Amino acid sequence: MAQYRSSSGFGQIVSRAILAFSIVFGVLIYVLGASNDPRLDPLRRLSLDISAPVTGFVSAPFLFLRDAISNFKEFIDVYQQNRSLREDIVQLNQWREVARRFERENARLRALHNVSLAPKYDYVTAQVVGSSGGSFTHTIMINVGRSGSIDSGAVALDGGGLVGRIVSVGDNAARVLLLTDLASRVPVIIEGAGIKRSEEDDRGEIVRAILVGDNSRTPLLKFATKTEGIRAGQLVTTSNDGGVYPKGLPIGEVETDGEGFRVRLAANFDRLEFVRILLDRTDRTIDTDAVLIVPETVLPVEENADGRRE
Amino acid sequence: MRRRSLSIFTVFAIIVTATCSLALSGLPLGAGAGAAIWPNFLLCVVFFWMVHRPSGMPTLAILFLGLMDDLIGGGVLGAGILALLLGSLFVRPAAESLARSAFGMRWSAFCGFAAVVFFIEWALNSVPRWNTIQTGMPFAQFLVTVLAYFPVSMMFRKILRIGRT
Repeated sequence: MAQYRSSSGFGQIVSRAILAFSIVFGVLIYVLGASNDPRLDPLRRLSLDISAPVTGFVSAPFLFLRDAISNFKEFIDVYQQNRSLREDIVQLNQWREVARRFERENARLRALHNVSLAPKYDYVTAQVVGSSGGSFTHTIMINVGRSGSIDSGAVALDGGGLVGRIVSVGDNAARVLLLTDLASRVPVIIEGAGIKRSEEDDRGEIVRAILVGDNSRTPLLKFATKTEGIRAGQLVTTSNDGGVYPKGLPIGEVETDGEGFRVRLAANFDRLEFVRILLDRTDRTIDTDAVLIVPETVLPVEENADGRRE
Repeated sequence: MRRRSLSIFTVFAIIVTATCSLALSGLPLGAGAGAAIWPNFLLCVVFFWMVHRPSGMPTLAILFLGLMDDLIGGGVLGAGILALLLGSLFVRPAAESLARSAFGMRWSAFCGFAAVVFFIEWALNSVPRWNTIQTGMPFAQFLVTVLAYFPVSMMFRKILRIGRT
């Protein structure tokens, strides 16, 4: 038990000084971290680049085991799946014809009205190599970073819908803040919730709200512009208010829990293996000289020769 | 009255177990609220070494591990550091008597240590968001962490031949 013997007076002073320093350092990091101080960004980037490959390596056997169990379950009901897939194919073939017809019609109408389209988005697919693990934050780590042309604020989706947005980017890894996290706020539109003002009004007023993560599976819908028309099952999509999320990305369906409205997310958070990161290809370079925009009311007023103002 | 120096093997074991516990905390077993409840192995490792080899888990090591846990987890930086440091304040003075006591006693002490760490982390993560984090998932993680201490402790004893359990 020699390792438990108390050290000398000087040793105790040193250990207490180290403890005090550590706590002060912890408090300082906490204050900077809580205020999202950009001075900590290099540290976050470095940790992402180091921890992503290590986590990927350590998690490989666990993921193999998980996939093996999952594949075995799927193998057991492969006959049932095959039947349901055949039925789906028949239905999807019908829908494909309908979609082609709509696409042609859409193109014709756009040409007629000279519609200017929303900015084009490209995407890059990334593998999920880690999750936050803890129960306080909901984030995932992906294996694409600056080298894959993604930047902070980019939007992440899976096959079902919106997953979250990039909050931290390293060279070869990035962190995605999920919609379920307590810090997540997404401006949304609730499709079909607008009350029709007349018979001719086919969609009604657009109902906007904020999707607020609360660390549960179903984030809250708050600050809805109108609640009268909101019903369970209505589609929730991004609204582009604030400019972070492109308009129209599917998020999920409205769910009621007696106290308010929640959203059952379309993305499959139980098995999130790959995500698509949207890359905004809009050219935002400013290549013209800046000019001062002055309200007309303060523009200098010229006087005529007879003294009248124009 | 000098502390006994640690063998190279023990230092190696501490580094490997701490690294593995950090890497295991970030396993992609589901995401967000859909993630599988996974034990916080770092707490088990820190507590085990603090009790059985306190000189192998000094304050600066706890500071470093807390910082790495915060960085890998993506939560509020500093919350994990402070939670681990403040939790260790309760364990360190009692380390010697805990190492001599029966496993049930040590397990109870680990429950207390984990409860303190989880509570501080919960509070420190809630404050900057101006909202209290739901307690369901943290409580579930606390329970699985407490349950995980038994096999972790047993495994360390078998492999490293230290401690009584």
